[in-house]
Amino acid sequence: MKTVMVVDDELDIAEAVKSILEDEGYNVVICANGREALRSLDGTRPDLAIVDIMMPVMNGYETIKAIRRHPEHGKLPLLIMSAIDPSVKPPEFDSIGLLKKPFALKDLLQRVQQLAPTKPRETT
Amino acid sequence: MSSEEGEDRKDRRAGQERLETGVPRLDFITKGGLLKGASYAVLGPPGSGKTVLAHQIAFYHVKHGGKVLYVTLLTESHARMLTNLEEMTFFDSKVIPEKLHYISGYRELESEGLKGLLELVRRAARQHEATLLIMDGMDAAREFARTDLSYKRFLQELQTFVSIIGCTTLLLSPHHEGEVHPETTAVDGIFELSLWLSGPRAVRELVALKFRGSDSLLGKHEMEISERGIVIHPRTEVQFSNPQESSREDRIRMPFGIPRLDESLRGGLLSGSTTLLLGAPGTGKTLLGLHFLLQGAREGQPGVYFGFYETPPRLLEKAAGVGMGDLKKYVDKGLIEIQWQPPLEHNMDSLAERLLERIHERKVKRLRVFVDSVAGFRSAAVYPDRMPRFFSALSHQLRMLDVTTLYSDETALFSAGVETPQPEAAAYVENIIFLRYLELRSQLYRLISIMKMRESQYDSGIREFAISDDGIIVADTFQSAEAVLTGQARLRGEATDNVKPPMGAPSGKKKPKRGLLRRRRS
Repeated sequence: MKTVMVVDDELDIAEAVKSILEDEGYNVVICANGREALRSLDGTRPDLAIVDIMMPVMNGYETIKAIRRHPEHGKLPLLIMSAIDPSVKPPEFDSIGLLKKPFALKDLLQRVQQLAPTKPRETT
Repeated sequence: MSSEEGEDRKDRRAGQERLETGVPRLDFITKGGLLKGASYAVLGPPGSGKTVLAHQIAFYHVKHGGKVLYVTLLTESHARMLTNLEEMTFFDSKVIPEKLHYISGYRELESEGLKGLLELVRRAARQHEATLLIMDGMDAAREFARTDLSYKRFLQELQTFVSIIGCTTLLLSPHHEGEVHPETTAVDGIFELSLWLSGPRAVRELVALKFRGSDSLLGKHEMEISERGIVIHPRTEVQFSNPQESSREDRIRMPFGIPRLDESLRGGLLSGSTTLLLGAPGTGKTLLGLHFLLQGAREGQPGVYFGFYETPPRLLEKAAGVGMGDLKKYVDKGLIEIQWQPPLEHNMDSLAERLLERIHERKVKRLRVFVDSVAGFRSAAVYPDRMPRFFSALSHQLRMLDVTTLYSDETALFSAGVETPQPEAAAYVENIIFLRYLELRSQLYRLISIMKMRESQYDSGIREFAISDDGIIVADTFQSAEAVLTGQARLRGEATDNVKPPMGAPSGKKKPKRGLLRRRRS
């Protein structure tokens, strides 16, 4: 089972994403800010991190830079999930996709499936 | 910006799509419907129509391809609830449970609390691919919350989830006077339903209190519940709060077919204008209005009689008795339409809607409308102080449709002045024609005068008139009394013995022809 780390201080969004992705067969870990995410990397070994930008303690950009510098998880697939306008995203983060809040379910699933493919959920 | 990000923006705009409710005029109030993915509180006391409203929206949504999850938090069984709805015309048992699915969240709430309920709803909404979620009985969820904060938190998590899956949500809660609902701060819109008594009359209202993300007609709107479900009647003055200028330039004169009156009006009323026929009971307002419609029909112009008191057969009979027998011919041909409002409890705005909708349906030019009378609207008004704004808006709308309108309204039978029941009327009508009695030497005279005619010259002389076998006849300027409009007529000195009897009164041996006498005999 693949693990997705959701880094967001807005717990309602993180919980909603967790509920949806768990239904899709993912294991989901929630971290409230960048520092918490960095501390959890080794323990959770995620296949994808979905990172909010505007967060307390350590914001999303700093978090992404820190992950990229991480010796073991530097190549971890990342997805920005934020209310910022795509035009204000700094060029150095161009390679990382942006899921603009509020987002639609199909966009979330499509992005996650691209970055951390898993088998389609079996329906009963 | 990457193409994927462009897609994101496109989808975000799509997130502002509307969900039409199918509830007559609710989508007009919200300027297009509920916002997809948004959540709305529907509050109201028991019996106010919350469940009917929710089901009406649900069945309409299903009919148009949507899927509905209906979560009850009540102890009432689904079977009992559905039994109560089976008589509604929108009810369709075939869509249950495939497209309209019911679950009870009460047990989950009881055993697992709000967290358990949230998880149940999340899973069921996704499993049934719900595009509309209705949670009925939110007071139960609130009671299971330890604090208002935890309840708000539950609502926030629910809203975030439904927003992501693009599911519009209605949260139904009972409401009692003065009660504060935590959900009102969290939701995107609030509709409060109320049921109260105005005298013996039960009044249902929908109050739009909040509608985020779009312009809307906030405030109170009367509503009705029938077997067709809920129908909302937005306040007329709010519906037409941004009137545009009339575009019709080629205005013509619309005569009454009464020679001396038409002369006084310089050929008739201006098309697209509004006229008040003001007068005491029995002075002849209805007949004068019918004259106007009949003359229009003779000239090929359509007319509508919008009346409250005379049934159509009686109205035709009355007209035939005073030389307007061809009125029936034009009614039968459909050129003149009689819209009689039976003596029921009316709603002022629905009356206006009925009139305007009919005008829109007919799509005719140079339409003449006679509203007989303003008192019919007044008796339907729950809030009488709305009358001036209401009539101003209605009149403007009629003007916009190039309708030439007559309103009749009553003054006191005998009074020392012109006491109109609605003094503000002078501001919203272009013309006022005043009919009244004058009592002089034990005789009753009928007088007619033009008190106001905007945008036109007119003869302000006071004339006597009579109701004859040939309809209304207007005489020369009345000269035997002065200050007649104050009702304090005094005879002119030596002329006291030369006062002529009223028009139509018997004179010598000649057989009377005038309607006044005929009426007295009957």
